[in-house]
Amino acid sequence: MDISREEAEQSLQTIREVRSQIRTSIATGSAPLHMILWGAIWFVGYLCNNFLDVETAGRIWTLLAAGGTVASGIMGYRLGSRFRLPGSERIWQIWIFFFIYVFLCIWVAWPLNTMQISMLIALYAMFAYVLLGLWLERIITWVGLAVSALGLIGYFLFPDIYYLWMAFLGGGTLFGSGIYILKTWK
Amino acid sequence: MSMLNEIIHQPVRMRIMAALMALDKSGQLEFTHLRDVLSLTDGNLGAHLRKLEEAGYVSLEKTFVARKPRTFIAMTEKGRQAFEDHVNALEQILSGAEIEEEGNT
Repeated sequence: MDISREEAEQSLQTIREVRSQIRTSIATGSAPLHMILWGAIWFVGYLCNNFLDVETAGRIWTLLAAGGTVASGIMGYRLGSRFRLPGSERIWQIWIFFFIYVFLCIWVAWPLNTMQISMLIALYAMFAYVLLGLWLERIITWVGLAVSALGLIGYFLFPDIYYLWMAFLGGGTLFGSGIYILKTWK
Repeated sequence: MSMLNEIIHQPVRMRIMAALMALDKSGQLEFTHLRDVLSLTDGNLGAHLRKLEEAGYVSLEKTFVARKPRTFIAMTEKGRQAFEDHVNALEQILSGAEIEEEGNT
């Protein structure tokens, strides 16, 4: 079997491209869909915080969070069936422990006002994005850092419009990043 | 010195092997996902997988996920070694080394 130097170079390039394609599809998996889903949930939830009374907004947030968790689980299960990777079942365990620890931290810090709870949950969620991004794909880390920074700016500098700020900039950044990843990484 | 492998060097099979090589050892790719990533038809992918399976380079596992039949494909240790040798041979061509010809073994 005899091939030219150019053909060898082309073959190696093809191998690199295919490997990169597969690794990207593993790394991103359902991440952009989760971002779109939770971006939309944040948008609706924070708008409710801004325009409705605390009790009604709280009930809507509970429904949105429960629905979002179920939808995330279904998406993760369906898209995860593309691969079988050793140790991938641990991602579920990590999320379960993460939620338990978030609950415990808020419980210890109680009493908190609505704005503090919302900022804490947003920070914890974005901390998970930052860690997952370091493990999977760096853009997820950057999204986590950007939304955290925007949230803190809104919390400390613009408390009067904090919920609107989080709806448009927090939810919007998550939603927009999800769309961007879906469009550019396919 | 590494040698080119005729079975792997066929363009579609080389892309299949590259895709499987991107996984860790014991990782598996689902048939339809591999088909979509490589832009192949079911028949084309199936035919090349059979060839690679006959050579002992890949293993196929048919199973059910949510009551739907699914086929998961993994690279065998023999396939991993053969692919690494093939890539080494390609790199040696680039670096100007002489490559011995390998028959379809």
